[in-house]
Amino acid sequence: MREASELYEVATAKAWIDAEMRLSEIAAAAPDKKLEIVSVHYDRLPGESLIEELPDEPKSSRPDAVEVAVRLRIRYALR
Amino acid sequence: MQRLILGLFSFLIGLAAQSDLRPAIQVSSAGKAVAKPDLAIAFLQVRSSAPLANDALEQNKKKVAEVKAKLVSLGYKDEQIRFTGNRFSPTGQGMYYPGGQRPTGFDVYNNLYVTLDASDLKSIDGFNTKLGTLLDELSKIGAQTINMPISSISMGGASVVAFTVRDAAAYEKKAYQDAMDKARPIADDIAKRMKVAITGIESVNIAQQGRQQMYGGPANPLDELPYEYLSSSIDEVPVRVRLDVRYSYK
Repeated sequence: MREASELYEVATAKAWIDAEMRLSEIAAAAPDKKLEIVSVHYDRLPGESLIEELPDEPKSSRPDAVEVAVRLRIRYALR
Repeated sequence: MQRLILGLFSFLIGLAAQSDLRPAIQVSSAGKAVAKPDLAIAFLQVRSSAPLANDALEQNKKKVAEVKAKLVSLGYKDEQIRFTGNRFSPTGQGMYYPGGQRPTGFDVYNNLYVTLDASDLKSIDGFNTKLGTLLDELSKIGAQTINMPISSISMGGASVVAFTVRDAAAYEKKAYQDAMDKARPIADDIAKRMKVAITGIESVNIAQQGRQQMYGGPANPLDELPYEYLSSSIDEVPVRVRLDVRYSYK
């Protein structure tokens, strides 16, 4: 199994690509303005276990997949 | 090799508000330190029922006195025994609403916390024997074990004992440092994608810590206890902190 940190890196890369795509759509809709990213808030959905006997890693009830998620909240300005 | 599914969310928030315009990369990060418990707490209750509230109260006062005497005879000191005071409730465990079924009497109950200290925790077998004796002797004279919220966290089902540390400050510092150490590489990664450089830490907010994190706020019975971190494991007490670290960049 891959390390959880590696999974989070891949998830972050995918979230960033998704965000850039949506930012380009927003910029395209306002061609007379320049879009600038002001701040980025990274939030990793918690991987820690509420059940103490289990380790602090992402878990799944499925035998074939483990899911991890990150959330990027991006503030932008149209100037 | 397991197939891996990567879930992701991204949200774009337009700049409607002007209050948060400073450029920043904010990372929510969690840190953890593991403490060796130096205190165990057994959760018990003394409860009495009667058609009249005062009768239930008198019965419970007597039971409490018996339980106190038994604890002293078992060698427990005053500082190890904590009763939370008598409380009144309708008889039984049901919910009663106006116009519906009426309770037939009153329960009076008094929660009891018995603490066992570091010397009792040196040997797991010794601790378990001492705890077993405590539970057996008190249940013989009417004290009941109660399932506190900590119980549901263990896979083994209801646990009537929790472990904690008297002074968690050093572990909180370690957990804080752990969270800070985890946050920086993430911030660097985001900065690289933005093609900017981090210039420093603008602010650090503690988002969640201790009991607030585990149980969601002050309205839980464990607020009767002064300990922030509780575990069902005799080996370790996890001390967790969640931070929002805000980095400036240019």
